[in-house]
Amino acid sequence: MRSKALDFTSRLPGFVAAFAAAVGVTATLGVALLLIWAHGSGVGSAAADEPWPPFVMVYRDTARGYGPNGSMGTQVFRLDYRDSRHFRSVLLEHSAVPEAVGLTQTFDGRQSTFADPRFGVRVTPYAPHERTVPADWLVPAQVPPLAQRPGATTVRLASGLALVTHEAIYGARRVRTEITYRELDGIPIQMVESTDGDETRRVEVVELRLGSR
Amino acid sequence: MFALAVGLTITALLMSSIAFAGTTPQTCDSVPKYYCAKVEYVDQGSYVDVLYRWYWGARDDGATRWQRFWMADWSSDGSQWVLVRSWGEGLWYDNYLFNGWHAIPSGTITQPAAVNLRIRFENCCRDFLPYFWCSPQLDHYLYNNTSAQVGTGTC
Repeated sequence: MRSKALDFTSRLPGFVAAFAAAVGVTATLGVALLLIWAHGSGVGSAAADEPWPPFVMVYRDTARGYGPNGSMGTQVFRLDYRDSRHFRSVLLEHSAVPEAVGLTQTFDGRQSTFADPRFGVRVTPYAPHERTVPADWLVPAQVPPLAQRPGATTVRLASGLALVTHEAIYGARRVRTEITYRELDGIPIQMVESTDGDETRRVEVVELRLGSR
Repeated sequence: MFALAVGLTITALLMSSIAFAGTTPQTCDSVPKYYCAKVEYVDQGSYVDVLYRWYWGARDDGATRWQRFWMADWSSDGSQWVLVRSWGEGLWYDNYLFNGWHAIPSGTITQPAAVNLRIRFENCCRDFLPYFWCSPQLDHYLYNNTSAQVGTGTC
């Protein structure tokens, strides 16, 4: 008959292994959490995390709903993009509301400022882990997020461009979205949306100037 | 002739006192699948009685939820728009498609009057980090019963 002390001794290597494993898992989780925190707070190499180089673009956004009373209309913007936490858009033209020209939307990582020449300024604070985007069709990423949706397809075009296409049914409507972007850095240069075969939105970059970081 | 003039005058007086009930043209995204808004009101001449400020939002397989970001009533003093009242962020919703109108009721605004709002969306967590984007500013001009959208998607 074996004593309880002997039983404990015989199990000792197992306890040591389990303890070591627990320490290892804890350390791994700690490092992972530290990396996530560092990524979210901007600690470390910010440039390495940035999908796009700095750039300035002028783009024309024509869509159903931008015109008076729900009709087609056009807005033209100039976007100064430094990184995913620093950018500024200025409205250069509006086909239906010319008095809104000069409207400025700025994000500096800590706050977003919406300055409308007609209705004044509105400021929204942002926490370090939160962010917004330069436009709904311009989401900083190496590959447009649209490409990650189920059913999306990507094809290479000439001149270093790629085209992401996605189709989905919303209610009874078939919506097709196409984004053309530069393979080199992922910057989109065109977005076309059609609903039941009719073009309902077209965004085109009319001028793009790349900077360096 | 005199009777006709009196009749016309009385008609004109009656017409001027009749309130005009209206709803502004909807401001929606291009499909629409993400947002719409409209304002139901009664034009009393020198002021409007707002009945309801209607809006809806929905997510798709990119956006994960939506909320009213802000809404405001405005009155022009002849040279600039003056804020009358405003509302901040609403509750978050995660309906995939349109599931009904939300509304903020009542309120009086001196003419010329306007109401505007923005709808906010959160996309989480497909790409490198979650992010917010917004509808353009959805303007509803009650003084001439028109509407328009202004600005881009930065929140």
